[in-house]
Amino acid sequence: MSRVIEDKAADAVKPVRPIGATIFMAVLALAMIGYAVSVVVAARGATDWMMVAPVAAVGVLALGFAVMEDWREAFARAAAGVAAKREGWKSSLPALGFMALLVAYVAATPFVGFDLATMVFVVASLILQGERRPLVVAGIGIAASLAIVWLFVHVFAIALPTLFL
Amino acid sequence: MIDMSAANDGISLLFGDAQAWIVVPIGILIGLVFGAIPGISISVAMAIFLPATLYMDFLPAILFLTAIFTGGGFGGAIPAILMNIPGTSSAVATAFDGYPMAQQGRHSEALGIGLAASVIGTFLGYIALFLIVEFVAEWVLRLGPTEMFVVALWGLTLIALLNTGSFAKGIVAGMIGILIATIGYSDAGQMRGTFGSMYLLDGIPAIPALIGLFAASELFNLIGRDYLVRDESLRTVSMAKIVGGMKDAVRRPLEIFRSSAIGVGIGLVPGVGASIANLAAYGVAKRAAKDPASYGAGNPGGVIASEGANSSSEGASMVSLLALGIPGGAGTAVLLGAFAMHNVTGGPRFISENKDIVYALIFGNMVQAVLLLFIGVVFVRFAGVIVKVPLRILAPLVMVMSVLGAYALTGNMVGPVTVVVAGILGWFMRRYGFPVAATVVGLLVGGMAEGELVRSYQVSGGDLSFVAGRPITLLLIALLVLSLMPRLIVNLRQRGKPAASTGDAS
Repeated sequence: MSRVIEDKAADAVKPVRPIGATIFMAVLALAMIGYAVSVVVAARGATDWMMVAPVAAVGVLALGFAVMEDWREAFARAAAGVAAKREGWKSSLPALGFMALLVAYVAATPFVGFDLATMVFVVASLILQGERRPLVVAGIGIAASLAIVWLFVHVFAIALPTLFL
Repeated sequence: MIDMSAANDGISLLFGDAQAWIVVPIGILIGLVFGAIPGISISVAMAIFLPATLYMDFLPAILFLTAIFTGGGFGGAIPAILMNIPGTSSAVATAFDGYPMAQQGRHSEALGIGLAASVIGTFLGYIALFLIVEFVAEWVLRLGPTEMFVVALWGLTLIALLNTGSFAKGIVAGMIGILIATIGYSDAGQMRGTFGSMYLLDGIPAIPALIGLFAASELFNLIGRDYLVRDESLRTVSMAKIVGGMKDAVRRPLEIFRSSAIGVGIGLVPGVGASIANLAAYGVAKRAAKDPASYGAGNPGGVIASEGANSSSEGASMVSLLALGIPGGAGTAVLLGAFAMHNVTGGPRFISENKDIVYALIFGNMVQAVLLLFIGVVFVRFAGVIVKVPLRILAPLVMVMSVLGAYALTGNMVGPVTVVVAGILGWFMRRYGFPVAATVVGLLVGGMAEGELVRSYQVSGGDLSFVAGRPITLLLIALLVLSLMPRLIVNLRQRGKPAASTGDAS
């Protein structure tokens, strides 16, 4: 149990200065404000904004508190001399690479079909994660991915756009 | 209240029809398989197999579909426990503790606990249906928008419970979920946040969004690791441990009974169902626990609460179908379709004129629960092998299944795009300490909360004194406040003390 808590704690970044978190929260606040304003401006009556506007207001307020908490915690750690780790973008590169592959996969699917796009995505993901054995790459990348698409199309009768299946 | 003569006729009808007992095990297996595939919801499975019931008699047809319902109810727990991907929205809370148990190598135990809680929950749900079907049919009609809004608010209070880290970040995460739920056409007919895209008119699809928030963001985190369970010695699937988990669940009758009672209570309300029941039962279990901090870190009580509630709500959701002819959720909507295919109309007249069939359905589903025990234990034995698959192979394949499942749900690219966007958002949220579970709760409850708020406003004309004339609303508000008191008291007591825990339920 303790290992899971450690893992979860390790997932959350606690750097010297929580700049990344602050930028992320600023983006969230802007999105909330922008959405609420667009709803209120186009509203014809209270029923159009009565949920969105208060929720966005609470969200932005809570974001303000969260930013203050993060900075206060960072200053407290610095004052106590607790070693803080860097934001660690280097260690996140495989995850970011996988995300980029996923975005490319979903973007390409309408043009090349799920069968071909899935095959390329799985092969590229295996290579990204360090799999170099040709049989595994070919077996999993081609056979397994095509089997999954075939299952959805022909067994579950779901009309997926495909190139050759 | 119970017509014993009709009940006897129901038993004769049920056991006099051999076809029913041929299709039921097949239905359970279909439900388990489909429930275990992320993105293929139980209702989708039921809809796919609905045409197969055309040439069946009415009773076997409905039992076949309810068998898919029953099997799918537990099937959704399998990927929730093994991969942190709730196969269905009713298994969201199962992942909160089931997945940490799997990471600790206790996946066999978690699967056994989930199965036992599901079986007992299903059984208790149908017993409740047997006892209350006639009485509740009359009572449910009294619930108006103000009462439903309070029920939705109760669901939203889970946001506070699901986060033991930063309270502000928990609130932010919940608000994000609610705002996402309001995108698309509102109940009042306003188009919001669609950026002019016709694909977003129906809003952000909830299930692909929760797949993205939970599964995709977790898969991003797993990239670079070798196996789901780090310790090789724990990477075994043990029938003894599955059975041990089942025994563990049976040794906690009060927890199962409590979650089943919550599942029944919530399942009775049309439109709410198992998606809310599992979260509400989880919240209550955590609140009532001696060690609430252990919830979210692999406490078996969390799996029991979620699985007991989502399974028992199935029986209760049949009340509105049988008694009112109103589907309580997507699954019962398909059942209503099967009723129509067989020229049967649910509602008060159906109950009064076909009591034997109603009781046969109830008894048939109780037997299904027992069958689920045997079929499910074999199924999880094979499903559990997943922990032995290297993550570099598992991650892309699970991602592909999530994307395909999302496409199956929406019928267009909105589903896959939602998975990707929600996954990236979820990854950043996890990175900066926001509980994605609270976002999912907001997402699932937000639409309902807004709809009922608007209807309450329209019915009352904006006059708050309207609530004073609604005794059921007042009672529900009192219960809501009472349920929040323990957390508030704990917060007040902890004020001034240094924070001891940083864990959350994300």
